[in-house]
Amino acid sequence: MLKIFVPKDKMPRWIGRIMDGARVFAPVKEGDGYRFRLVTRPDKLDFSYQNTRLSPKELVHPPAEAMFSYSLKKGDPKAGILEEIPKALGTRVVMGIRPCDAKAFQLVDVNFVTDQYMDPWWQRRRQNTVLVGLGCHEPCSTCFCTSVGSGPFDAGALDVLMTDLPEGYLLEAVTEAGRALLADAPEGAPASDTVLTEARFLAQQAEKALPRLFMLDPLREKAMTALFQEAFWEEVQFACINCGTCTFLCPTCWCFDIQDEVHQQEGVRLRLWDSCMFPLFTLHGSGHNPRNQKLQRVRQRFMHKFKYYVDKYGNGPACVGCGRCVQYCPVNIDIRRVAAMMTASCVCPT
Amino acid sequence: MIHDPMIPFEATIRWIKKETRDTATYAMKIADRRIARAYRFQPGQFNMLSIPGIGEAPISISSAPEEEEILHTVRVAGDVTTQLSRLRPGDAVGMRGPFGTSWPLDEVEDRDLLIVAGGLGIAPLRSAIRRILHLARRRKTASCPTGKKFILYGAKTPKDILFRDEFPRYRSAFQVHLTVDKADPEESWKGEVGLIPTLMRHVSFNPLKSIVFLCGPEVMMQVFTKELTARGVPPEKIFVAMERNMNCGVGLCGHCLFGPVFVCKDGPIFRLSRIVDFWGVREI
Repeated sequence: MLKIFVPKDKMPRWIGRIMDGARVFAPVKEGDGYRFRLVTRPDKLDFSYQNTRLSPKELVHPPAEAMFSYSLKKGDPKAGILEEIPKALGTRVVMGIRPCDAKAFQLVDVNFVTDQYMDPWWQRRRQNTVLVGLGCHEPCSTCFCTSVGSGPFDAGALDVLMTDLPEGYLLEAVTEAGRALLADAPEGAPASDTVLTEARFLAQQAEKALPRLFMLDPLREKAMTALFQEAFWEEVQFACINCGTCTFLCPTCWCFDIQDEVHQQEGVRLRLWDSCMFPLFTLHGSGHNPRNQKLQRVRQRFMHKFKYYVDKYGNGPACVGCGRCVQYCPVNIDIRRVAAMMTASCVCPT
Repeated sequence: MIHDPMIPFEATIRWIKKETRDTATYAMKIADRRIARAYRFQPGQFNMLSIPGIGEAPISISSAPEEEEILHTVRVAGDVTTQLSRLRPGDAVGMRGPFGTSWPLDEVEDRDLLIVAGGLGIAPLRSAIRRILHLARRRKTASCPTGKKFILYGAKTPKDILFRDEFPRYRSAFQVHLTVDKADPEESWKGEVGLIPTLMRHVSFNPLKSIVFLCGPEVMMQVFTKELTARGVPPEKIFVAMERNMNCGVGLCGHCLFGPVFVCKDGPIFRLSRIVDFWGVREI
């Protein structure tokens, strides 16, 4: 595939040309963190970030999406009839997404696009989005992508992989869409061997900085009910306050709720991120709640990511090792420790 | 499906029949002719009933596919069902569906069939019962179950028995056994008192050549499946209808995740052998 090198001073020109044909989303500094935003000026792009606070899942699966609108006016012949609200589903380029966050899209695809049903908005947004990833040569202290089957320069879910080198960027096309993007870049020159060697060295350094913390094989091998009934869940859940921060930040948490909101006589049907950490998540109309205890909900999140998903799709786990939940958990619950407990092949006597 | 599964279509309430103090049956007809013609369901499936401004609730279909109207038997429990109980014939509601798996009527053949319902659990089973009655009437011997057929039904009190007026008709094809948890003093209930498993002693069937359809509160189904397996009914021939909170009905939103399966899409009716490993574990 095509590999080109673009000097730093010429990057804005290349990005500017992409902006002529597509909406470009990129990390932007907001307060003391970064977030993916629509960017309209090439000089606004800032690749000096480690990772965004909110994961870019909001680009494909918005936190609050108005799906349909309806009128409740008396006498209106269309009263109560739901109409789809137009959504921006056109061509987009996401610049500077981290390989882990891109991999999260791939992991969640299996939920939203199935043989039986498919989410039309997820599917069209995914189809029309080109992912230009930025390899991490300085992983955060909370990163553990290598432990969950990915890596700081994993191009598996990207269209283009960028490597930040001192004088410029190495851009490697991964898919056909990525190749098309690079083919139209007169700013770049074919990457020299020196550049490629330099990039490979950086990638190796980054991977070395991320030791494997646990093995994944036991997840497949262990019996689901045995894992479910482990004693360590008591310890894991002890400090949890069910705030839902982990599910909110997680790039692979996709659960959503459907709610009706009415202002005067105009209503919208919304789709909102929801969290399995909340007791209402599983409450039946009858009052019965299968997971009304905190322990049950905490266990659900980890079991879904590391066991149910793995069993259901023969893939996974549904974790990309971005470390956001580790960084922002108010009571320091560490998913790396939980995963290590779940994958431990020998449970030591206490 | 010709219709986007997320967009409700309009259905008009034709009539409402009060069944018990908190439960009523709503007969509905799909307004759009084209959608009505394409709409096909199997006994055991459910619809999402939608009231704009209030929300949606998954409700099983209690009529047979051959019938003119689509029936939903609903107990007042939450926002949507409360609002539904305020509607009158002629009012419109939103409907989307049908969703979920159905009772495997084609697997019955010459097996002894046990239909076991607790409380409102009779609603999705009524659809199967009426389908079988229909097949029996038409003498479609090829598809009509030919073994012994039983209905075991338990309600809280005699007043809570649903479809009571229909049981005489069911008796033409089924042996019907009723029980109540508690007999009302003022009513002269002469039938059985006790939980559903107590009815098992009236029933004589061949466990190795039988099939069971089960719907009711989870605890009741847990107890009953134990009883059935103890009698030798293989879990491959026991079918249970699960309940979980649902939002989308199409396996996207994650609410009804039950271990590795979605209750709305992979269920609500499960072959027990599919979920038997974790079915007994509470809180999954």
